Amino acid sequence: MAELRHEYYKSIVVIPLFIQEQYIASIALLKDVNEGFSKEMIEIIRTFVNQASISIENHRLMMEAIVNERYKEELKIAKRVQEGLMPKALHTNCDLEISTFSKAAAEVGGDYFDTYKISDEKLAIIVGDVSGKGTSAAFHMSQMKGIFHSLVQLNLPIHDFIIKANNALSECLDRTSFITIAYFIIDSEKKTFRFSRAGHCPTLYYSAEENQVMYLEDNGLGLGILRDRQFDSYVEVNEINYQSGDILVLYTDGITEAKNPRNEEFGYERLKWLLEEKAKLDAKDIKEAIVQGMYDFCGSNVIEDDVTLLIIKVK
Amino acid sequence: MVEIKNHLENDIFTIFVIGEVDASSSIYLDESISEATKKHKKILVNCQQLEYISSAGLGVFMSYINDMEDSGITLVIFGLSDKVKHVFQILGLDQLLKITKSEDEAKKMVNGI
Repeated sequence: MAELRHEYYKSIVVIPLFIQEQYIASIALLKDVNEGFSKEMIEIIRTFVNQASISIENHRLMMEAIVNERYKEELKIAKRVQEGLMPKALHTNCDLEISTFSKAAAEVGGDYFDTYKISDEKLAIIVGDVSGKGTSAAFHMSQMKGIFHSLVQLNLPIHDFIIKANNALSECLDRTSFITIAYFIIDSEKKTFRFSRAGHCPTLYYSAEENQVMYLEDNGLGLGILRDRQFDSYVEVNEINYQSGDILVLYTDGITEAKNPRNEEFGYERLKWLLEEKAKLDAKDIKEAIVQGMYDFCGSNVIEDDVTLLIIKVK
Repeated sequence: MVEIKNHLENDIFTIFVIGEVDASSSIYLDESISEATKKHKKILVNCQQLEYISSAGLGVFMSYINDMEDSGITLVIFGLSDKVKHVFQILGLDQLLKITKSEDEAKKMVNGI
């Protein structure tokens, strides 16, 4: 409180506003008489100022809640859009039974799988994993879907499909992003799996004839890593003749890198053991056994990374 | 979390990557390699204490492959645990990056011996 030398106002009182001990603003009151503010009046003003502080803080919290709500709503929409990008019904052919599991760790994720019936005999299957997490990965995942559906219709040899996908992604991805894929064409006439691994986790294969499980560890390089012609020499395509009872397990590293509370990874060996044990079951039961095996190992159903699993079994 | 330390000895610049490199901490790795490539031609990345690297972290190493070829920089990664090395191998990065076991081998490699 002070006296003023003003032609009209003679006294002033200034009261600071604090919210959680942080200074926000001051309220100044003026009066046209000297010593215009009594002790009682200042007490009343203080009460009003305290009320004002609470109102300002409430308003701020309310605005924050509205903005948060809007973000949540946007993420919900993104989640719905991405769920729409996952195939609703999988194509298959007369030889195969296919069962899938896919779950994102956050609202949206970077895992991708899809199928396409190239002809009555030929079925294309892709599983992909975008580097990074969350929304940035989700954008790239949708690009991968666009590229898959554009190229798969051309019925290209696998080698050309991989090279064209790499060219296209080289134009689309930011400098530190890449996508790994496992790409298969299953031919029910020739009874073959033809495949290529572009930096993706090696596919697990069960041979019914040999009653043996192995990883298909062919060479390859993730898409978008080499963004020029040099990439061609890193593409490898292989072929397996399949027979009844054979199984392919395609997956993303969310499974093998799933951790238990002791920080140990589920790992490749456990996945292999599980398939060895469950190879005689049908595709759906194998999928459920692997998903359950992973959850049991982690001790919870909360996953830290996106998880995708496809079981393809020859009838 | 990741901790990154640097050490310059003669003309060899060493980056120590300690802990876990995930999506959020990969930016620190990116910054330190970016800084190093501006000033030094011989760079070692000591990964003896690197426990985990996510795809985002691998993306950082990947992004310098072309730059380094163009500007005559040699970057050698050494001391990877078997588990972390396997992650590089699956992606195919071991075919493009210089990776070796020990610091001595890495020094020889960076000096072109």
